[in-house]
Amino acid sequence: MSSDCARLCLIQLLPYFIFLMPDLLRRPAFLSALADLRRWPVRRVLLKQIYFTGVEALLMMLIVGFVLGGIVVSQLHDQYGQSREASLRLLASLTFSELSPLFTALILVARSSSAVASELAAMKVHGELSSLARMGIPLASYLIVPRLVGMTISAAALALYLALAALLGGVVLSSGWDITYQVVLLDRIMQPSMLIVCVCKGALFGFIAVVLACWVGLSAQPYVTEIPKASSRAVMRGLLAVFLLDFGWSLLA
Amino acid sequence: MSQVEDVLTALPACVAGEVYRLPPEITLVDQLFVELSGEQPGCVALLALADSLLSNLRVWENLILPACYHRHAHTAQLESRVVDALQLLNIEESVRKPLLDSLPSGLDIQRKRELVLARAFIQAPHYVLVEPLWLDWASDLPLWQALAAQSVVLIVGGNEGRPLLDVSPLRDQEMQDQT
Repeated sequence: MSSDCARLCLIQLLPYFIFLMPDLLRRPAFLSALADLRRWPVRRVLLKQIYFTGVEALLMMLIVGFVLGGIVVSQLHDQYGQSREASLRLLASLTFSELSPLFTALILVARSSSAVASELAAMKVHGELSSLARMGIPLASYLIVPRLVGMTISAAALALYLALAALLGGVVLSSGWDITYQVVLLDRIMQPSMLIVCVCKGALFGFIAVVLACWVGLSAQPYVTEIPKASSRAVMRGLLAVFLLDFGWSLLA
Repeated sequence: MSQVEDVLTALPACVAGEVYRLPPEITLVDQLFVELSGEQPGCVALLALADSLLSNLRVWENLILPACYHRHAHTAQLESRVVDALQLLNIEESVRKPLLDSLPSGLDIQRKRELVLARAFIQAPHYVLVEPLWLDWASDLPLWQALAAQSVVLIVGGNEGRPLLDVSPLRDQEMQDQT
């Protein structure tokens, strides 16, 4: 039953993938676009994307993670009477598998998806996409792939940082600044599979968010009034897709 | 043979520094651009009044983008071409650095067009496809003259230049056969 529901959710998401940039779905075109990452201008777009999405959001993610960890542990310990060790165990399990990728995706959708969509829509409005085509530069190679790769990498890394910051927040809140015992305890709490799930989920959510942002930005009408609409649409569709995917993931797992 | 094939056959006989006129077909330019770019990416620059700089790149990044993307030159060559282009545009040395570091959104239309022309010059294409309105605007500029001297200029419609299909080797062959 649950796997049927998951399949249904994934089927609902399929149109987004199918209608999204047919160029990318054709294997040779996608591979050649990926190969274009060797070119300096494309690599520069990729690095900029990682900087704006990953590096600039890092401090905020660390703060959010730290506070989130503290909140979860205080709730588990004070409200539900869990021991500190059990609270930390639950925090680690919850954060790495669920909260961290989801929170990362929410922040990225609000912060970067809207930026990507409005940037692409603005480029379309100002005729810059045609200019790129007239220079013989494929849009998929120069505009889409670096954003897809950059935001996916950033989302995976940020999800991991957020989870680690949450764990640190939980440790600090549960034991004050003398965290020696809790740090030793982390060795028993943490498992490689938790890290892998966290990174994979973060990457998947980031990928979906940026795919939708690119699609919305590029499919905007060439009017100035469409730029804020594209931005808003990217956020709403990104949020919906991330929640549906997370739901599907939970059912499948 | 289609008109694009006619044009493609005629192109090897064209000489750099000469101006040729293409038939005023709307779809011809796009098809020709695709064909030429497919054979040798970046060998053709298309200049039209609608062209613009990318607003999320600084001016220097805009200027070297096509040449850099198509790997037409090393950094040192690009730097020297940028300096040459700015000199031909009579941009004073004191203004160059702030201009190159600025974003295009702060520039006026005239300056943006000059920079689009500079971008084509730095790309150093073998063929330049240009619309007559652009030529009206650019023909007196030393930068345009330098670009036209190093490339085969193909004007889309208008009255200027030699009709391209007249220089087709096939046409010459046919004429010889008839005589």
